[in-house]
Amino acid sequence: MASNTAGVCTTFRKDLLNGSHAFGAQAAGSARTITTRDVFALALYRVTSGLGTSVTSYGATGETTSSGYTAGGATCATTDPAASGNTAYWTPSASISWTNVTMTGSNAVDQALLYNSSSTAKLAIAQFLLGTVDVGQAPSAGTFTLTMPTNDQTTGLIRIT
Amino acid sequence: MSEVKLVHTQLGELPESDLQFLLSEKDVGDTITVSREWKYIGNDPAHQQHLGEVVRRDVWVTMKIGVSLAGSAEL
Repeated sequence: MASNTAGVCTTFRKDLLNGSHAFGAQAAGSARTITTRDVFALALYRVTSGLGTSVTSYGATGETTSSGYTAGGATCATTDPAASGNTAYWTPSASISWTNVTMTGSNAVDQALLYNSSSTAKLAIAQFLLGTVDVGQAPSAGTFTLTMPTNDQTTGLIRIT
Repeated sequence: MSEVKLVHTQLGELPESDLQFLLSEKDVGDTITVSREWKYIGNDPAHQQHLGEVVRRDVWVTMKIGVSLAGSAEL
């Protein structure tokens, strides 16, 4: 079984150059005017899903299932990206919680996939490991909460240096 | 008369007195995980096959750090 891994998806590098993501709004006078930022989401994957950074888009294969959890995961509350020094960064502005979920046994999760929910292809951005790889988290009839890192140039969820 | 506090579990709503509460924290890799578990310790005959089992688990995963596209010459 291939273990899940963490990292920036390769496609995200290309998609950035293609202008496929709008993490924030952008005023007129920039290269193009963007009035609304895209919607981003986090989906949860089973220990056995074997997702690596070559994944190009969100897909339901390997995604966990549970009452209280909808395929595709949950939308991130966001703010505009920021920059400090040579680093630009972006982090969802709130934790994400799923209530009354049971993700035990084969549905235990050890990875979250961040993707652009606004894009037709649901473009993949990055994956994050959740605790011990290959063991996973197994909420049972309870709440599963993902708390975001501090939104700054050293710990932000997505950083470009 | 004191009010019985009920906890939502896989077995339904159970009195808090029938449950053993456990809290654990693990710092692994880029995450801190806090788990809150309730084990069934009651004597209801209908639930005896679940004695000692975890009947509810809440999980909080805190991501300490995200991911970086690093290297000024190799975006």
